[in-house]
Amino acid sequence: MNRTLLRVAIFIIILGSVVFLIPNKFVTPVVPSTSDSEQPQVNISSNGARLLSPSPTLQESASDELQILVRRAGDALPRRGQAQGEGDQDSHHAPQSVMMAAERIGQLVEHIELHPGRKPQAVEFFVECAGADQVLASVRALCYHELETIARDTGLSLDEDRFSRIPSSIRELSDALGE
Amino acid sequence: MLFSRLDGARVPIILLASLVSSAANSSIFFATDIPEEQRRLMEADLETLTRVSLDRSDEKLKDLFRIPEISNDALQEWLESRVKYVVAKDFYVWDHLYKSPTEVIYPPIKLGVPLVKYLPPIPNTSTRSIMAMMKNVGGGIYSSGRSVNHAYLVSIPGLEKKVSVVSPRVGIVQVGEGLFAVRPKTSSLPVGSVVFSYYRMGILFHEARHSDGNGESLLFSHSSCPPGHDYEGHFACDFNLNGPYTIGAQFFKNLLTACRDCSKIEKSVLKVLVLDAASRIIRVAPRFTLEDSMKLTSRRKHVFSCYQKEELDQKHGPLKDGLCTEAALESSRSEIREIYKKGLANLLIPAPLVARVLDPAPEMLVAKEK
Repeated sequence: MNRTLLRVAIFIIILGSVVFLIPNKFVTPVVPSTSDSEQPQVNISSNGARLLSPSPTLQESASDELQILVRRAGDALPRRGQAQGEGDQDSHHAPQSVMMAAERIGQLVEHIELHPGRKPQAVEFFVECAGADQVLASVRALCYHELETIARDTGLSLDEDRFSRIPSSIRELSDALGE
Repeated sequence: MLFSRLDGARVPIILLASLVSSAANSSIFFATDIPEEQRRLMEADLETLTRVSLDRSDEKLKDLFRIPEISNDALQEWLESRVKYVVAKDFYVWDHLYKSPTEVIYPPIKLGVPLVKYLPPIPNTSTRSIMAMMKNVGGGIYSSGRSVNHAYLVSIPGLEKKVSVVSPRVGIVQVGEGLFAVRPKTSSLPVGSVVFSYYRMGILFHEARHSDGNGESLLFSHSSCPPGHDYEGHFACDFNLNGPYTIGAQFFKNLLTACRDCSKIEKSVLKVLVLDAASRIIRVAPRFTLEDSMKLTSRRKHVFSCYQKEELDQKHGPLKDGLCTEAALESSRSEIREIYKKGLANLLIPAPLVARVLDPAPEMLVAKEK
């Protein structure tokens, strides 16, 4: 028993020495690099406050992630007739395709909450979704609801022309969440 | 027995006792042929109902349920007065029915707003079996008894006495496979996410409403969804303002408002459950002129016979006449849609029907005096 403990202790000592001898270049520095491209951008607002914005790299990765999430949400939108095609499911309650679409939309909402700067891009998706005739009404109304939330947060007017293709039936259905 | 052999046996025995008592908090009886796993899941859902956060300021839910206040106890009581027995998916009703020796009188049939039927129901084809979520079989038994003017008794596995079906409130619901498969296989949410439990509870509350009603509102039967609806032709819509879909929508909405621990994704799923149920509430139904009504009947017959033919084709090979080609069917369907649109136009007489709140009080039969 004691011999085993001794062997373990020796092994740890050797391992520690090896790690110590590894050249610094293989170890990621904890302190951020001073090069311009990697430094977070500091914007000075008109009132002189320092606004820290994410680095371009972070912005790019957020944008990539948004695109992935938009694509996944778009792929998950259940088409009309598809609900009836889910022939083995009980048509009395929300089919799984509707649940999955809501999940993907939820992931998108979660993302834009973390990256509010990406909201304009998400608006495009929600307009497309809410205006898509071939998509199930419940999911379209969910998209319209999220659009309304963004509009409320950002001061966007939903009376603009580009929103006119969203029919009143979908707008009214989304009221079920607000009534 | 198992625990008594272990050291410190008192702890597990106390734990076991608390589990048994929590399951016993609900008065709903589970038939003994329900698989253990399914029973446990439903008991856990009912347990969730006793402690879930509710939006107590929800006046709509209060009015809809006709309860004095929104509380977990009040919701549980509402549910348990409408759902009393849960039977397994393989429970074949006719094998468990007995005619009661007592002669009975059913309340007279009141003619009210007719069931709105836009299209014939889409039949289940022989090759596909529907994964039903849940059915209120008690209401169906009451309604059957009503049509032949005698009362039924039902034997439920595990229950010594037969249950007497004297009202739609007998509260026998049958579970289906679908109820235990509400979580999509590709879902990113954990199996134990509250939304799946809420979804199953919503279905239970939906079925509970089918235990209500009298005359025109008896069982709060569904209407067929109108042309152009996502579930066109399915009996999966309500033409009233307090039926099972309104119950479901308001129930989910309450949970959505109250769920502070829900993630954005879970909230999104709850939102779509509200919207799916709300989308099935039909607020205006068309009325037709005599001519349109006759045309509608003929087109519906055409579509229906073709649905039947499709079913027969699968068994006996395709029919050779051109009656049921996709083009012929689409022609009838589009005529139905046109007549429907016309029937909704407010300028016509008679004016379209508007959905309203129906009387939820359950009717009850009485024994005939000798």
